[in-house]
Amino acid sequence: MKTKKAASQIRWFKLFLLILVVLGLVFAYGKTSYLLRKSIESGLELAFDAPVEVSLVYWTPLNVKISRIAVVDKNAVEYSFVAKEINAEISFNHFIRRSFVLNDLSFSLAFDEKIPEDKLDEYQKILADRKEEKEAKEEIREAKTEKAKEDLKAQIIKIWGEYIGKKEAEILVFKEEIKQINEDIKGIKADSEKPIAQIDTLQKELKDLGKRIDDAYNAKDAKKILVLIQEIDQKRKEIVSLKNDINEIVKRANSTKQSVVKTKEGMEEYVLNIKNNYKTIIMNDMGFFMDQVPSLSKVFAAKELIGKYERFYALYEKFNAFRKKYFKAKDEKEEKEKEDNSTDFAFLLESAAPDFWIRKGGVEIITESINFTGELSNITSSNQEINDLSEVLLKGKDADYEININTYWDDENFYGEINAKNFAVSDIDLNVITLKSGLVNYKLKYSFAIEKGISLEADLHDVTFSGGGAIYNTVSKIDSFYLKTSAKNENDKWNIKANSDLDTKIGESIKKEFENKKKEAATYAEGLFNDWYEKNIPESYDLLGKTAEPLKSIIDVSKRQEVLDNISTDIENKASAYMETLKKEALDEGLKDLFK
Amino acid sequence: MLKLILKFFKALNSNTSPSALALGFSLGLLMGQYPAGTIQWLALLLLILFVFKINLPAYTSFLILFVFIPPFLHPLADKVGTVLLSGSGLQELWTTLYNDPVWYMTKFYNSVVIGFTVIFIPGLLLFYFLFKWLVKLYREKLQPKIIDSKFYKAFMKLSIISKIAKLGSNLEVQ
Repeated sequence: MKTKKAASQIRWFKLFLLILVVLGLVFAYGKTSYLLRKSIESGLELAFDAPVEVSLVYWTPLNVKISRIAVVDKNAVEYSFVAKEINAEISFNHFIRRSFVLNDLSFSLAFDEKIPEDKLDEYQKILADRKEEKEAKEEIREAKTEKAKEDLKAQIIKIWGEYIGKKEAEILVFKEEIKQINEDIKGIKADSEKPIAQIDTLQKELKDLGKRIDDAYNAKDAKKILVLIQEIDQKRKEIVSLKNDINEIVKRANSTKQSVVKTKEGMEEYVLNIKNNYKTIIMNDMGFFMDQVPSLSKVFAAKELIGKYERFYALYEKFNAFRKKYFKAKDEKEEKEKEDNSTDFAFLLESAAPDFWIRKGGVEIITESINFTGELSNITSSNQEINDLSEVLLKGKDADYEININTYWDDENFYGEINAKNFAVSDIDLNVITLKSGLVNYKLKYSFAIEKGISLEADLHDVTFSGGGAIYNTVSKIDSFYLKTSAKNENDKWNIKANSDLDTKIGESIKKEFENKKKEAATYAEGLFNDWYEKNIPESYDLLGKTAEPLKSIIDVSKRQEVLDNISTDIENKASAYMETLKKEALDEGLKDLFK
Repeated sequence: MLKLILKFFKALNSNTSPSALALGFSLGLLMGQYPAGTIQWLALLLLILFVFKINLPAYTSFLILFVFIPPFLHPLADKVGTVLLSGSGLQELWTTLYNDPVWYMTKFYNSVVIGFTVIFIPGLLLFYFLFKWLVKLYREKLQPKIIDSKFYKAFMKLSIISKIAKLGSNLEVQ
């Protein structure tokens, strides 16, 4: 009886152990599946910045199967792509040596698959949150742009203020000169009042004398005429005396006039100098102005291009960092395992393999317009160990469209070439113009290296644009350009070098755009000048009598004097002529009396 | 664990044959010292558990005990293994085995594993006879003296010990 009971206990104990072993195996299997699934999910979410669905992972030591991997598109209505029927054949011989070698991998990719309605809300919320975050960043960017414009105006005002501040000190000199001229004019005016009055009196007296001569002549009174001639002579003496005085005043007036002209000319030259120079000074001082002008310059384009590939570069860096960290950890673990003083002897392995290696694979990519077929080979964790490059070749072609993507990489470098004919582009932001849709023949050579950074050579032909924007009309005429650029990340800052014919091709339009912006700035500055001119210059001109011509009346004195001189001469001539006539008539009358 | 210990003492002091106990002890010792994680270790464990008729309390108690005891047999196994693996005459064989996945999983290329495998059978024989002699010696010389000792009697009168002894009396051993 006891023996039977003992045997029963042993059986239960063995069964218990068996269940433990089975449960352990099931747990290990499930855990491995879960880890595989989660690592795929998180890796893709990081790469595409969108929710990812990964179906259950089924694996055996000889095979891995994943029925579906889907990445949600930004519109949250359909998937960016759905990878289906992922099937990988595992090399067991390498698997037990801790190498994940896939002898063959196949999968297909489908695009534009609709998201089921029950998941729409969830994905739309996730993406809306991310969009909101992005828009908030955009708002910050716009605010910065607005601030930059304000800064531009502020800088113009600052430069103008500094410039005109220096110039306004010079105005004081002119003001002093003008004040002195004004004083001189007042003195000359005061001094010229007496001779003017004398001229006016003499003029009246001479006119009266002329009348009296006429009367004497009509009365045939020669004696009276002679007396009047003497009186004319007396007036002439007065006129000569007055003339000397007037000449002195006119001399002073001319001297002052010269001062006025000189000051006027100096002031005009000074104002002109300000007007001519302030624009140059402002333009020269606005070094940052170029940044305010939207440009498709090579650096901008290079930044855009590098920016687009920066994420790939970041992934590449992460992959390398992960690879280094993983292998280091693995080496350390292996070192630790050897602490039991045992030695692992290594023998020649006929098919040595790195830790991860997809020997070859096939992919089928299905889109609405075109189907791709692709070949993968030697996707590995160490190209050095397999002594070969990793390679992805993708080919797609339909009636209108053709694309070839050849990508190669090794442990240090990642490079390749994309050739596309009639490649449909959409929503590509070129900073000043968005390619909302278009067709392009595209050739891009690219190279990533941890030490050397990124190198990209883009060659675009038959580019067509649609879109809008300030310089769209000029940009849209460009149908081809190349762009060679390299970038290196040093201390979290990209150092970008670029070479392109883009500048040459659109240089003129950019120049015009820049000139327009300069004109805008110049107009703004001109407004500042005009305000300043109105406030400062007319006041100074008024001092000079810009409209009143203060010296005119002084100069008139000499003309009055000339008139007076003429009247005097006329009367004198007239009186002399009357005397001659009277003498001749008297002679005629005497002869008549003689022959009577 | 307590049951296991009780079973161990029960077996030691019962009519269980010294040969069965010695075999269980020696296999437990060697398996406890053998590098774990190899397929042969796992296979042997399964065989012992489900196929061979071994005195399980003796085997399990020694297995657990010697898993935690520093591997005192490893230096010897390492020396033997190093000689074997580095010997020029066997390189071709080792290379062939190394390239075979099943043989690779045996970790034969590890000096301790191959060395221990080689000394396993001689070791088993050695420990078998040693433990058999010790069990007999214990039962003939030591056991009566312990039972007659005042200390043992006083010890067995302790209430907790009497409860444990009662529990032990209900246990059966193979």
